[in-house]
Amino acid sequence: MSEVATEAPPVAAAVRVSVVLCCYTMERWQHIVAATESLRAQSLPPAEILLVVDHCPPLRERATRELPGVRVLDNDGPPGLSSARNVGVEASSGDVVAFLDDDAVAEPEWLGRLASEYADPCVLGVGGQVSPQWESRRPAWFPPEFDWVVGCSHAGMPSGTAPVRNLIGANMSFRRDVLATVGGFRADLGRVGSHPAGCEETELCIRAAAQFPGGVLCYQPEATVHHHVPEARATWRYFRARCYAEGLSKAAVSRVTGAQRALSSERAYVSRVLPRGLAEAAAGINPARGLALVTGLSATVTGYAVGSLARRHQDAAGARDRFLRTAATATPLVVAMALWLLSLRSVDLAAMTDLGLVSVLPAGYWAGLALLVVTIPVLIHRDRTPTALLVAYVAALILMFHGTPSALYESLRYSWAWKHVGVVDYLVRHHSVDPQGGGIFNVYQAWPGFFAVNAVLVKAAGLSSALSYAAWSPPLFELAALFPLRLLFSTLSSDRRQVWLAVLVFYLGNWVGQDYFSPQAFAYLLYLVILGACLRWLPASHRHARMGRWRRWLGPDLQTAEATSPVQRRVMLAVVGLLMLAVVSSHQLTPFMLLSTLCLLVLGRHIGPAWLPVMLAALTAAWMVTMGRTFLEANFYWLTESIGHPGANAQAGLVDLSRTSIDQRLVYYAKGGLSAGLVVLAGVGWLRLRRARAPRRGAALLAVGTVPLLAANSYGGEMIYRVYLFALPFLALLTAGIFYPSTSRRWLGAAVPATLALALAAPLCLAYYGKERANYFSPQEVAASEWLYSHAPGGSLLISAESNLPWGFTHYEDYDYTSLEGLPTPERAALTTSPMVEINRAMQNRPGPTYVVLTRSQTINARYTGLLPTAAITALTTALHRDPSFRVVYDNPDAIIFERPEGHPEPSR
Amino acid sequence: MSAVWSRYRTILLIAVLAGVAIAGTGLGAPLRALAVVAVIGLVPGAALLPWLPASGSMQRIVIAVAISLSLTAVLSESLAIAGAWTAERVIIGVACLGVGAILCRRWAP
Repeated sequence: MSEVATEAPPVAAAVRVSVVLCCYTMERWQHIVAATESLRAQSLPPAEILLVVDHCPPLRERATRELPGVRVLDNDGPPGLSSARNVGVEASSGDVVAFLDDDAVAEPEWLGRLASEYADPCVLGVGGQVSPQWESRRPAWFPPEFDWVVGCSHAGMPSGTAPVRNLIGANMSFRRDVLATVGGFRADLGRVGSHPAGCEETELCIRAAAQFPGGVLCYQPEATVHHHVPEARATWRYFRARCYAEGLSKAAVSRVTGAQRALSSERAYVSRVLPRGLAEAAAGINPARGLALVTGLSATVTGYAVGSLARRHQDAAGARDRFLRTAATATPLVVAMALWLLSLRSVDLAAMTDLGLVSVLPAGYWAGLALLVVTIPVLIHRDRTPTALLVAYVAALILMFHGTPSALYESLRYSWAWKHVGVVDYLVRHHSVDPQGGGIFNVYQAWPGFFAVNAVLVKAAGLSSALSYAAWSPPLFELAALFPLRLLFSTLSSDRRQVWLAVLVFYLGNWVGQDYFSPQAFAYLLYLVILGACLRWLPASHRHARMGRWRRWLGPDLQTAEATSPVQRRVMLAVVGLLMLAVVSSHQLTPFMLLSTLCLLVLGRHIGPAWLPVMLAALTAAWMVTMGRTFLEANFYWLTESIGHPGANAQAGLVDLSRTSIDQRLVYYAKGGLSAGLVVLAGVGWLRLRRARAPRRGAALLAVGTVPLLAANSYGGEMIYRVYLFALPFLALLTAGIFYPSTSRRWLGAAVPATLALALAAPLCLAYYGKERANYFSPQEVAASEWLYSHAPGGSLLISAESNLPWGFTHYEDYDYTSLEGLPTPERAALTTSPMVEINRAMQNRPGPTYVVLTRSQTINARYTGLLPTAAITALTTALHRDPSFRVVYDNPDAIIFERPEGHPEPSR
Repeated sequence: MSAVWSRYRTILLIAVLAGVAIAGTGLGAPLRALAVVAVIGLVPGAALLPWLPASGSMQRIVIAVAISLSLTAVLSESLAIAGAWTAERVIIGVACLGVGAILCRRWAP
């Protein structure tokens, strides 16, 4: 930094200085003219003079008209000096931006002296002396120590060039990049019109010093301006008011920067400068000056105290208001969860009818569920709800809806989940898989990804089996889907409300129940992540290349993909390849669903590179012909016969309703109605989005992307449900498009989506809970299964009437399994008339022991599916009781096990 | 930034090692389960995050968990197909991949 200059400084010609003047009233016109003229007379001409008019159109017009060479700008921000200065900074082009008050006149060397200090690269800003130019004469009582009251340099400031904490607003300059880096002046501080607030420059200087630790703010007293002090400011009244306002402003700065920084100069001022002033007043016998010193200090301290208290009060009030608002918003959540938890205590599972859980859940549960379902759309519609709260609400909905069976049942629900636990058990015991082996679960051995992850968890965590946690799979998988869903939706739509309403609609439309402990649930999550990752981070490199008409129908209409570097793109491609491999090795169907959608996305140039689906197809084919070869060979006919028959494949899973109860018909209609309703709603949403010129073609493509799979296979009668499941996220997004994007924030606007949510929730409960009577296994049934595996010797044949029972969960490979529902239709029909013939047929003259297991849930499921005659299980039980070759070895109210010991003669016909 | 990264790397290394150690020492099931879930469900994916463009916290969690589970699935099933599966091998393999990614962080874009 330079020493005190005694001569005119060298002109820092290399430094371009923009000068900003801010004005707000016509009353100062003469001063404004004088200020601009003083700038024109500078020895170092300013690069530009910017006059920012603070919300005073007449002044702007006059300045534009009468001040040639001055660039006149409007403060288009909030009124106030800070905001006006920021406008000037933004419009400036110089290396340095200097500020001069509109009622100040600069000496000719002003800019040159300021600019010369910038030769030191450490200098962030330079300010100069501001000397008062009293309109009348200086009042005798006005202490020089308080010249800051009239915006001027005061006694006690350095007499030569020196670093200072802050500069004076009437005469200061900063490097423009410093101002840009610190973000300019805070608009909530500083003078507005004639209101005597201040300290905005102090706060900025503190901020700049903090952000540039080696930087210096320099006071150069030779760079002088003369500040006009009107008579109105030479009064006691103004003196007190300005001191008080300065105290308030200091309190505001303290709040922003901390009291230590905000008051560092003031402590020295109070401890050294003011006592010296008092001494001088006493020595000069000027009691008025002494009184002014005391008054000014008192007023400033009072203002600081009041400002601090008010800020604290405001902070406390603000925090209290925020807390109360959040608490009020979260109240329905708390109430709903309380209702849910209380309602669980009064559920009698034994009283379940053919409406499943719907028939036994108490009113409190429904009230809680309805409260959540209605509140979430309202919160989404408000658009101010924090994301964390929305996540909490949706998580609560998931927990309440999908966690209720987990919380109520003593055992794992759904028979296939038990079988999957058995495959994990196999892997843990054998340390290998046997994809080429036989057995009922060999298909799982050939696609072991999901089971391999769970085997690690079971073994490494020291668990006895996956039964320890598998019961909570539905809420966990559904909750886990929330995050990839949000990633996917926010990539396909830029409207936050549409995204969150789509999340809600997804959960209200997801009745399919593929969230149990299964490879499908795992692969479905990865499917969502892959699509989200491809759309967001792997956009086609020439998305807007010339496209044919058909491609214009398919092409992307929303640019939400994120920019990626070439390295990041390559890594992301590798990650997507890894996820694809995990999907291919975990589930048979999901790779084909993914392949279908990826092909459409590539064709529409939503994603790239084009070889992504080729890579997936190659991985799938390679897996099929190696790991899946045995399965393929055994099921080749079944897999190929249905190709090209979409109608038959779609209807393959339909149930013969004539043999089911009215309640089950209702459940069935709820599934169909909910699915069809969502398809229709998605169509309406798509039309509405097209009219709003936001067609979301990506979502539309993905909604139909899996439909071609209907022409490939029936997937055991489940293909139509799986197609619906894989299309559901995108049907949900299009359905949300009925309501959003929209600019409405009125409460009434939430009524329709809330009503729709309720309308979806009603059939969802029927569809999802409606088969729980069959999916639920009582403790007696589980006890029978456990007895079976602890007593039946290896090699035994285990026969059930129907496959819906909790078996196969341990040592499954030691046994052979047969379900009578797998018999051809004529033999199934004969079960009521000659059951032992069919048992004998199933036994196939095996010499080893045979066990026939009949349970409550088999009887119920047989009625639901209609695969067995109504009286088949009763007839079977009666016949087995009568047959001398069989004996009852286990019996409880919900299960009975018959044994035919090894070497026993064939049962009677 | 480098200070933040140093701390981040240390935390991840500790998490990996603690996870492996806890999973192998026969401590109580809940603690072991949590450690195992952290190792197989988060560590390798989180270690790879510096190479990925995911920016928001939700995006990062989604990608980290998906990578970790996929990596565990592929590694575990590969060992199972080779007839060499043990949980310890999978855990150590996953942890090594995570540590390797952390140590290679300097080459991340």
